[in-house]
Amino acid sequence: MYDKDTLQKLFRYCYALTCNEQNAYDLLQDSLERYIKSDNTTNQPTAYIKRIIHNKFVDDCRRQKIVQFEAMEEENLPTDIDMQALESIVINEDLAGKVLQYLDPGEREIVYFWAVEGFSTSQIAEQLDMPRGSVLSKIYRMRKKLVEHFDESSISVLEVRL
Amino acid sequence: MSKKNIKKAVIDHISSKSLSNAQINQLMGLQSISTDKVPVGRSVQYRWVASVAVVVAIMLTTIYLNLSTDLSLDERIGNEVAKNHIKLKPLEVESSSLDVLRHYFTELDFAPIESSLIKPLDKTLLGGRYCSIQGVTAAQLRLKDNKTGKIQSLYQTLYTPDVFTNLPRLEEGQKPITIYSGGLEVDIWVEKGLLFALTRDTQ
Repeated sequence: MYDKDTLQKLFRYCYALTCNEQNAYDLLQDSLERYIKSDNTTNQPTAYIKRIIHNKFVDDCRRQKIVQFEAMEEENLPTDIDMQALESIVINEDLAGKVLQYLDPGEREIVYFWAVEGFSTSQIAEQLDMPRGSVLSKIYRMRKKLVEHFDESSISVLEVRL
Repeated sequence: MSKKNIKKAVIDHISSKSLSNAQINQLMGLQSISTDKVPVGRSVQYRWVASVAVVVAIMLTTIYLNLSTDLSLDERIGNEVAKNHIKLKPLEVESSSLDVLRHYFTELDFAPIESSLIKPLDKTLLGGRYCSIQGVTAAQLRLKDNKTGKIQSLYQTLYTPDVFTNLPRLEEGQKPITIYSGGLEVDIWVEKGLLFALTRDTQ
């Protein structure tokens, strides 16, 4: 049984995926029901339900055609890219919501694990069951699209590493 | 406007989102109906208690399933839609136009229709969402009764005789069957090739 603190953390994970509080609650409730109905006896229930949440969200998006979950295209990445590429970005303090809205769900999930859970790129790759190179590729794209989309008065880069 | 490191800004933003007490209570309640899970964080010394609970839960589940299979199809449908209606999950499409909803439900093998048993002037259509009835994909339309102001759900799914047997068919002069479940009345009938289920507050 998940306690209140764990439910709040799971809700925030759902919010990071959906970027909508009502949809986040809906996703959490449905995932919890799915977890209860499952016969899993995992000793890592939090990790397990996060997997359920992720899979359900991806399924829902595909069904509702909200977003395409496609394989990443190969591209030439800088060799020194890492989480510092995001760390170097500063934004207006009230812009976080808009930044999350602008990112696609897969990117938001990476940002969540990086910012809120404090994961490394390797841990994120393991959590999302994707190659570390794909995580780095998404980070590179995220940084690029954020800097290109938002004007200089609201977003800036402290240290240029790319 | 002061600026923040994006990581700090994201943490602050996401941390500002939280479940309400009512939502927490609902989720805790949802979990309390499950007795076959080992509680998170429970220490090893209590695991034998959980093991006993699992055995008991399996026995109760077995009994429940035996009882469940004794339920008739209309009772199972009634229980399912009543439970679904009570949750009042967010609408995926909001409109008072059935045409708009018909365009939304593209994943269905049928187009939602009006029933001859529901007078359009008596109800206001609020919107709809996908759901399922007995594992068959269905449309849930949310209605407001214009006299009482109460919310009702009208479920529609493709009528397949091999799945939905022995349900009343309007075209054969039969009347809807009413099931009582979860404090609601659920009317069930077959009309124009579709299975309908309509929830009503018990009078």
